[in-house]
Amino acid sequence: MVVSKAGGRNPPRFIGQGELTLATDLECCHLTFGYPHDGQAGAAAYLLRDIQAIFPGGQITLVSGNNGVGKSTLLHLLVCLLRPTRGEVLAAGQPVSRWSAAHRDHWRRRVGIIFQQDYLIDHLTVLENVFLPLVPQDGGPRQWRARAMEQLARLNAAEFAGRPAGLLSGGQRQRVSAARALVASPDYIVADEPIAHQDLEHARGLGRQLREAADRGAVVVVAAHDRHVDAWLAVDRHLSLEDGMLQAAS
Amino acid sequence: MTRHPLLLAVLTSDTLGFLLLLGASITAFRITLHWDPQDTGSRQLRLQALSETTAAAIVWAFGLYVFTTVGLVYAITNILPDLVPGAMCGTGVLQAMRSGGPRMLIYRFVALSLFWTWWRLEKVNRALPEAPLTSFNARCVLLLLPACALALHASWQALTAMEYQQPVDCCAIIYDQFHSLGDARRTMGVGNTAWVGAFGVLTLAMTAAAWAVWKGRRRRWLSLLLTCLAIGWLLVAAIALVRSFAAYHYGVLHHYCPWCLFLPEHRLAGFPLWTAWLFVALEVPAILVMSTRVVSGLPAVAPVVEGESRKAARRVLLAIMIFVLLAVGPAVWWRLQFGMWLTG
Repeated sequence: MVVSKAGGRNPPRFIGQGELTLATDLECCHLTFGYPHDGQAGAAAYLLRDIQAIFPGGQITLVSGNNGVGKSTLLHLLVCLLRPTRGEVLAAGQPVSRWSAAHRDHWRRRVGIIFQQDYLIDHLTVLENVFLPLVPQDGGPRQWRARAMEQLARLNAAEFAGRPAGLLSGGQRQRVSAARALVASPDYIVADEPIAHQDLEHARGLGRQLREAADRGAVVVVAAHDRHVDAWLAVDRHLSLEDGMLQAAS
Repeated sequence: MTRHPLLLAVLTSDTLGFLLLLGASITAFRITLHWDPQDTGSRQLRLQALSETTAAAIVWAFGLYVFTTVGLVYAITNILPDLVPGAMCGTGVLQAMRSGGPRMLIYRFVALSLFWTWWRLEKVNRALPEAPLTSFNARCVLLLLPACALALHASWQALTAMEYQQPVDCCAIIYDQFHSLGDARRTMGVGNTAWVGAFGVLTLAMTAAAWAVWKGRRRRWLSLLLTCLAIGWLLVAAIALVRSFAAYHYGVLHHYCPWCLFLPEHRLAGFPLWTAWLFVALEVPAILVMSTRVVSGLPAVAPVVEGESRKAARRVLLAIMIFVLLAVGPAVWWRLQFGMWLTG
């Protein structure tokens, strides 16, 4: 279900026994985006138009739509890899999309992204690729390696931890990419076609990992045009992107 | 005009820095007119993106400006004296530049001071995610542009109008200002020993005020007090240095030349000494601007300003210590070695 909310800011949410935490909801407020110089005029120039939606923490939201409809663009906007043409993205009530680059980059340490292309660093080993997001955090190499190995094991990728990433198959690279996105226990997870090269068993493994993340309160947004997503992922909400608008899927 | 590579580099960098600033000021002007942090429309979002590029351009312009200032001072003190007949230090070179030389230095100082204040404010601005001082800083940039234009014009004018054929007489300028020995012992009617005393008192007061800004709770009047003291200290320190302490670097009495300190035979002492002096002159106004209601009145900004003011006060303390060490240190060493002060 799409919830509209015009420009509001979320108040802090209190959870548990005296533990203070902020709500992790992601919110799109009048989000509009058009790629520059795409040769179109008027409303047609915008790939996404006036999107208003909340992606709550603790839930997995599936965004589906045909190829080229703007699913990847929406995910990139949600995690501030792209600047909106109009409107804003709020994370826990903060207008992160309008922050200066350094602050956006800092906030993005709390984000895990499974890209459509895996963007692994080929000359590093799988383990090194996976522990990269942990480097700005506390702890040392020993701890980072242990956490990275643990995450790889959860996604059945521990056996090729020592191999250079450039030697992996497409499916293996995608699992490593997922491990890299999840290793730092991010508050916001976006996954863009995360099982395009996976068999059902590995896809279910990833689905379980995403569910665990949602259960600890993370915002999980998955973009897929796969209509059989139920086979590997239990989604809480299903939104459909059509003609630049986001709406509840039928 | 001489085609010395350093001078060409200075003029080219100055021009390049000004062009960067000119480009940045177009965005700054648009920000001044249209900035609205509550707006999420396309114009505001474009301005937000542009404001970051603009800030980067101004930082580059500032860097170029610092480079050209250092280069220019080095050229005036260590390169041009060889080219101007009769010149032995910067005094002779400035004489060859006629009135353009001092004007160039004054405009350059004003521009540098504005750059410095903008830089400090931008640091505060960038420490906060929503960059709440962007509009204020854009106005600073608009103020900076005419100052830099004047500085650039004055630099071109002074360097191109320099006389390389007309001999100058460095020492005549220094010594001709005194009609008697009594004149040499006084500055503005006050004895040089009294200036040294005033320097000591003001240094202690400055140190205490900077310490209070660094360690104490943030109070606007403390910043104001520090600024007032700094104005006095800068004047008195410059006079005490040239009239009393420089003698211990030169090893002679009554050679009241600020430029000879930059010469290699005096261990280039002028560079750290005047840099420390300049640092105080640049940093204190920035502390004052940060303490104004316009800046620190914004609730989100106040804690960052407090932190930055503390750091600035610490840097001022360090600069004062360096200045005192390099100015008074040789005098103390002289006293210990020869058992007397160089006065008379």
